Amino acid sequence: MDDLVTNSLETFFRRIERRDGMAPAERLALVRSVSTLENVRAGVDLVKEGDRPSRCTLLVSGFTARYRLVSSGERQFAAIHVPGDFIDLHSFPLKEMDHSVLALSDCTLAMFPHSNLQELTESYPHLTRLLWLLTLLDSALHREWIMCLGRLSATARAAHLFCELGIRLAVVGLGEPDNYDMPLTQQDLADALGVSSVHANRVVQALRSDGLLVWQADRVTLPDLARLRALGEFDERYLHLVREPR
Amino acid sequence: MPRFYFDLLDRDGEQIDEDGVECQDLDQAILLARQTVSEIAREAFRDTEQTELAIRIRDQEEGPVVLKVTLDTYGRQ
Repeated sequence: MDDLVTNSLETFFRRIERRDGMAPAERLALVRSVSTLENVRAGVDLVKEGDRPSRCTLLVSGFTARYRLVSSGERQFAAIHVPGDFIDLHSFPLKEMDHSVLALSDCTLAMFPHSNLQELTESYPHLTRLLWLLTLLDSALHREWIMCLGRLSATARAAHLFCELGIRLAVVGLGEPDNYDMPLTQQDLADALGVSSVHANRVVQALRSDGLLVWQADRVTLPDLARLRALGEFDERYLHLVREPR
Repeated sequence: MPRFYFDLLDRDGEQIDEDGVECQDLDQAILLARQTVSEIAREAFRDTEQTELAIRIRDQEEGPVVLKVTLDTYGRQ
């Protein structure tokens, strides 16, 4: 079981080690905190607004989105998770979920019971700070999305999102910043950008005809990353990719 | 569900929608077009000097229906 879990946590370890080193004992403590690995199908809510989860969920493979619904039935994504991300680490101290998380593709998940995290945080101070860091990275990402949603055009927001996903996937070893696999639908993109599906479609066509995006099947290629970054006002500072003692 | 196509018409000409979106019926397509044209107008009227744009809805059987929005500048350009 330990080997299987260790392999499953590889993207998670890469994500952390891009920001700080981890001792072998800390890695092992994380591996031992996993109770089960589970598979879910695309379209399933992994946690729902109002839930009181008894465990935190780490995304091992696949993509999920953090979202809220409004009364018209429209969805707004607040973040997209990639492999190596905790989807609800904050449920450990917050207890009650104030939003839902949706599987955008088939996913594999590693489950961390809150009781295991409690023991871990009582025994490993540095590891506890790293878990704290992860929730701070979530909030840094939300601040960036607020800027995008409030002030950038839909086309610039899309440019920003394609830049962001490329870097986050490259950090965990899945593709390159300008070339990666991503299973989002047109409606998913619309819900991330906060626009209608027709508008999202138009934005994709505009980026394509401008030579900034190739998106076929689930493969994304960004032929002119420098120009796309400028259009999306993208600067990865908010991803905090500096390795230093935390 | 039928697939509807939403072309954007502005002073630069026509941008033909080649992908389309599935909608239950023409009413839902019109609702989607209203939302879209207002979103695009918000940006186009702010970021460029456009004062008029429209969306043309096409499908295989019905239409086309054209929704136009105009920014009234009281004669000043």
